Amino acid sequence: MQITVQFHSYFKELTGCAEIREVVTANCPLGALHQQLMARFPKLAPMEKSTLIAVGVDYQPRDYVLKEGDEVSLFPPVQGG
Amino acid sequence: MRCRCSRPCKAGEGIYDLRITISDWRATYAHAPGNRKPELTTVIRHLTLTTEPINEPELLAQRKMSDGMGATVYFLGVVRGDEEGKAISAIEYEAFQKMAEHQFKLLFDQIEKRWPVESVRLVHRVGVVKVNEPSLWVEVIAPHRGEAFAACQWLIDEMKRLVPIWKRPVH
Repeated sequence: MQITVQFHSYFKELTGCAEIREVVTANCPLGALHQQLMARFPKLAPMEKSTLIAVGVDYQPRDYVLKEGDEVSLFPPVQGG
Repeated sequence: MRCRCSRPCKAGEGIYDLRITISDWRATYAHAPGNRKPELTTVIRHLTLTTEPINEPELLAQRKMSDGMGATVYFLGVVRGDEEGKAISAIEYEAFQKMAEHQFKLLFDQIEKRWPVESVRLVHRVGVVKVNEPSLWVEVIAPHRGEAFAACQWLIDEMKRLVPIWKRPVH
């Protein structure tokens, strides 16, 4: 199935894009997608531990199971204020 | 809306020249100070993410405070002239707008559950904010100073942990 992945902040520079479509297997957990993305964009790998991941507008744990049409966002730690 | 950055920013469309005002978030909850009978209180919520300068006089003029409230705490965050020891001229703030609004709403929900606040208002700049200009304005109104200080501090701490806003120094 296909999902949308958005990158925010300097992750856009690390990946060279702001949004991609990614094919994942059925019942793919978010953590597996993250691994898949780090393989595709190796510059994300050093940020593995601190990367924040949301589906839609909510943070989700790495064991969240992706659904068709999910909009996933990856970004570095937030820094408002 | 127009984007002034040169980077690919499809995911960030709408974050520049942005002014979102959510001023009509209101909720009613039961509030029982001391041993008094619970009374219904309307909580004012106001969130603005904007590329425009923060207009403090206007915000202060719009303040609403009922007779039962005894404390207003507000915080102004200002851009410093250095970042990690290097001089800068400004900070560029980027927000994931839709998620930022949602996360602020969740934080406001939490504040209402934890403290007997009457009003929570927050303004955060996005885009380029020059040194010495305010980037953040937060106000909490509550019956007592302890609650107002605690709620204001908590909101800012949680914002820095959860709300998807990032900054980039401009040299």
